[in-house]
Amino acid sequence: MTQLPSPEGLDKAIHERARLGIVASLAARGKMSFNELKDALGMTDGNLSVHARVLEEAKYIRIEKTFVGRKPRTTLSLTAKGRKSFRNYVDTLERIVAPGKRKTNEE
Amino acid sequence: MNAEAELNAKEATEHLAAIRRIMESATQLTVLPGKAAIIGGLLALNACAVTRGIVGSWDFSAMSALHASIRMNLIVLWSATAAVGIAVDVALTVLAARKRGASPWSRLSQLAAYAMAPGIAAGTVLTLALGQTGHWGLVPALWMMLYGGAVWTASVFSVRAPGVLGAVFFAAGVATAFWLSSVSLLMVAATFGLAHIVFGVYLIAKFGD
Repeated sequence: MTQLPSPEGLDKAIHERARLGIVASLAARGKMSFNELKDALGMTDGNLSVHARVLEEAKYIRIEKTFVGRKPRTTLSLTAKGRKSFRNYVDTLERIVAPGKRKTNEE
Repeated sequence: MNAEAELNAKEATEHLAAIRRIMESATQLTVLPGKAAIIGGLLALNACAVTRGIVGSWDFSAMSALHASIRMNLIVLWSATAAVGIAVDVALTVLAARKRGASPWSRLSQLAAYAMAPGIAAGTVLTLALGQTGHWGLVPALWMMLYGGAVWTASVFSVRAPGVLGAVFFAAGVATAFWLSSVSLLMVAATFGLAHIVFGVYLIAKFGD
């Protein structure tokens, strides 16, 4: 996975491309199963697990394990903190692209 | 702007585009929302029941024996069924996109529409051509294969499930063309009717609607 240089203000937990994919997908869908997310992002089980754990430790996502019948099902969802960090991250990128743009929460 | 800032701005633009793509593909579940698939299936079942009542057979080729005006009525019925089905799909797709705050005419929607258009257009033209020459028996297989092919192709821009639906339609079309032509109307009911309903229920259970 490639990584952009980290200008100041960019959240390092989200900045890695795989983790950004996870957060962006969950921001769009709210909640996704592990397999859906894996398919959507073209990641392996191990890779997704590792990056999901980093985001869970940062309290950006919530990982829930349930059973559907006898089958275990892992569901990932974005926390309020994760959503806010993602919004800030996108704001920061937008300010790099258009330096005159104010933060969303300042508007 | 210095070289480093310029580079960062370019990369940030690329990053924002990547985020947009990821969010679009995550929300672009299918060009056929679950509810639209169920409604389309019910419309198709209704058209099949009416056709069966008028034709008196499960064999679509019996259309050839009908009086021209009755045949025209059935053509209008099937055209209206297709038009209403597509309109419902478009309306529900737009509503779902608005609910998510996304653009209903995203790049992915455009690609899916472009992928489906040739199959749908070819189906319309060939139906008229086959009808004119009295080859009504081939029409159901043609519908299934062209619609199945169109959905299959469009599924490249969506989740995997529509691809399976497309493959089912295509296989049913092949079976109808070679072995099941005597029950071709029943095959239309099984695919455009039941398969759509099952698919719609699956989509709602898996992704919500």
